[in-house]
Amino acid sequence: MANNKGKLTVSVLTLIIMTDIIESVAELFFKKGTLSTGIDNVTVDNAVLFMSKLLASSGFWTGLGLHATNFFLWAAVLSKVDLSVAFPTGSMSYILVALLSVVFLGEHISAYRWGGIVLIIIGIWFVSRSTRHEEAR
Amino acid sequence: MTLKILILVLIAEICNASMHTLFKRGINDIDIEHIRGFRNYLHFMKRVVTSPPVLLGLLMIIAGMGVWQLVLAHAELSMAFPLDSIQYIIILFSSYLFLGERINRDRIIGTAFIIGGIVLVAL
Repeated sequence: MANNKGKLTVSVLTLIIMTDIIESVAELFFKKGTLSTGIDNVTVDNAVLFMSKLLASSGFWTGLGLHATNFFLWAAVLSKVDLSVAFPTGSMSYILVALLSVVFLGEHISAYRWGGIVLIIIGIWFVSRSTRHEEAR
Repeated sequence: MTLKILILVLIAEICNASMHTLFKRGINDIDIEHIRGFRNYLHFMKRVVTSPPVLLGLLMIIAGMGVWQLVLAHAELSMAFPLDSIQYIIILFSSYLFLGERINRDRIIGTAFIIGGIVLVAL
């Protein structure tokens, strides 16, 4: 299977970071959509009402549109590198969320979380190293 | 965390991992040497959205989302997120078994570090 061999290059890494950012934003819009329904406890009785309110919200459709965009970006990523490379590298979203919550929300990051971020960075370095003998595409 | 929730989480994780594996399977089947230029890219995407494994993968997302809603109704989110890291192990195995990817030592070490990191971040 020679067609799925590829290095984790800076351009592929950038694409993966973009999908991470878009996914986080999409989740925020989905959350906004569910909040706008005013229903915080979905049961069998109000499920239909909840769904109709959700489908009428702009948050839901914006979130869905962003996920569709991501689908095309992710397809481009998968055409370049192995799944066992692309998927773990996507864990960069954990770092992004932590850094964004410091910069924009002024949140405090615990020592555990900093430790986790360092481990994720080391992990991504190892994963990218695992591709260095692959043929560049 | 009861056994029932644990099983539900596992089913949701398997759905999600199958989706990723099916997507990659579908994309591997498309024989495109280089995706350069917009026309080429459009052609590639047309093949992607009409690929049977990819479409099956989309069904998996819907199934996974349904099961995940059941999990959220029962479990605290803070408990559900560290379990999300199971996904990385499933994908490592499915990439090897179903996609024929060469899993070398660095890739296993890297994935292990990432799983450890995610558990710490989620704590």
